[in-house]
Amino acid sequence: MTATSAPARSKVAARGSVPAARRRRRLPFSPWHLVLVPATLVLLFPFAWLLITSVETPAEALHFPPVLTPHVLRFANYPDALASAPFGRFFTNSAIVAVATVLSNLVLCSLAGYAFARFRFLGRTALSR
Amino acid sequence: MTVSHISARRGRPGDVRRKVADSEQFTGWAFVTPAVVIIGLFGAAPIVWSALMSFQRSNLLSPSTPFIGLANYRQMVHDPVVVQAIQHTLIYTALFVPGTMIVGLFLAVAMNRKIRFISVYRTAAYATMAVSTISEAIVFIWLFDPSYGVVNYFLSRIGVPPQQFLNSPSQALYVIVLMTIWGWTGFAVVIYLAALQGVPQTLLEAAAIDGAGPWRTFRRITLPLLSPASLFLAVWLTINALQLFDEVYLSTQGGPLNATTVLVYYLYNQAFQQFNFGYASAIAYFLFLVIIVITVIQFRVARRFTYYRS
Repeated sequence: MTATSAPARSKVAARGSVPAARRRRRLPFSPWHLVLVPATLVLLFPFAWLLITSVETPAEALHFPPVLTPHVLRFANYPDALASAPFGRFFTNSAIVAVATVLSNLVLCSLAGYAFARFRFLGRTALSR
Repeated sequence: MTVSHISARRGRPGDVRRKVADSEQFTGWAFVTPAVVIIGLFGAAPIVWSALMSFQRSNLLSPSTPFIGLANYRQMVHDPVVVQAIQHTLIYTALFVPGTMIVGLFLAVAMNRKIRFISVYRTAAYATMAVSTISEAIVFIWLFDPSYGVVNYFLSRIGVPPQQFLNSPSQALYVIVLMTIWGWTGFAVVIYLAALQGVPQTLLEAAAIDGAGPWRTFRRITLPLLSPASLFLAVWLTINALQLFDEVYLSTQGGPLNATTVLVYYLYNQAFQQFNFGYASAIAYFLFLVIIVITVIQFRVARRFTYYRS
């Protein structure tokens, strides 16, 4: 997926009130970065916060003001979490549900779709609407 | 479509082609039956059953389910919590739908260009889509925690006193709005980016040659060409917003003081906690009606604003 309209847009800017050349001299990069960097930080902050908390000690995690940069990386949280519940069973359950859903949908829906496309039968229109 | 229809189209009775039509009857149904059975069993049957239940008093356990006419619907009118739930649902929808669309459109426009790190920005937007609702809710509960939350910390840095957020009746609903806007932004960005790729460069160049500035080009050319995507998003997000449940269930359970009780949450509460299945079914059908009316209005209004390039 590439931004095909990008060149056109910069042309529009060039014909606007501020000449592109002057703007370029003021900023060595596209001004859209000024919008996109803060937006990305906001969008990704919950992920980053999860990641940071995941290597903090319980004391740090419950500390206020929050510890944004943990002093020690406590990777033991991961084996601890895995040991705290039967995750193997959980993953198996998820896999069973996912595989069953995908397979049954693929088989049943392609059967029905084929019939709707290829055959004329009583109730076809009523069912496929 | 009836049998006579088919035979009329296929040829006269007794014709060879008539036999083809007959065998198609059988084969067609053989192909469709498994899907029809499943949809009927798990889709159509509950819909009909809950319609029946909305006229009954039923707790799904005792065998006696007397028909009580419209009493469930009448009870709704006099139930103050239903009135509150409708208000909260409408406030939520009115904030969530335009919020998501504006944020999505803005980010999509910003991301619709070839600049450095663009794939990083786009991935950040899509990433919010990949998060399951439960993780999203847990992270946001954590971020907005009144005592340990990092949001209160950031607010304290700019001199705002600590807020109660999800514990405050006046703020909880708005925290849920923020949470869901964050969760749906990726979806809106994907839809708008796809639509933006379909805006023909020739039109933008023509506008530039005619002396239109960036803003007027956007307002007069890009935005109208995006209107089918906007309609889709508006309808889709509205239906989702009216059915808000997961985030409320996971974060506030409708509280504090019913401040985040929305229609589907109240429905759940009535059905699976109070065991008033008849009443819950009546609420479900009321919500169904509301969704149909709002969707029809959206399509009617959109007819005036939506521009299909064909």
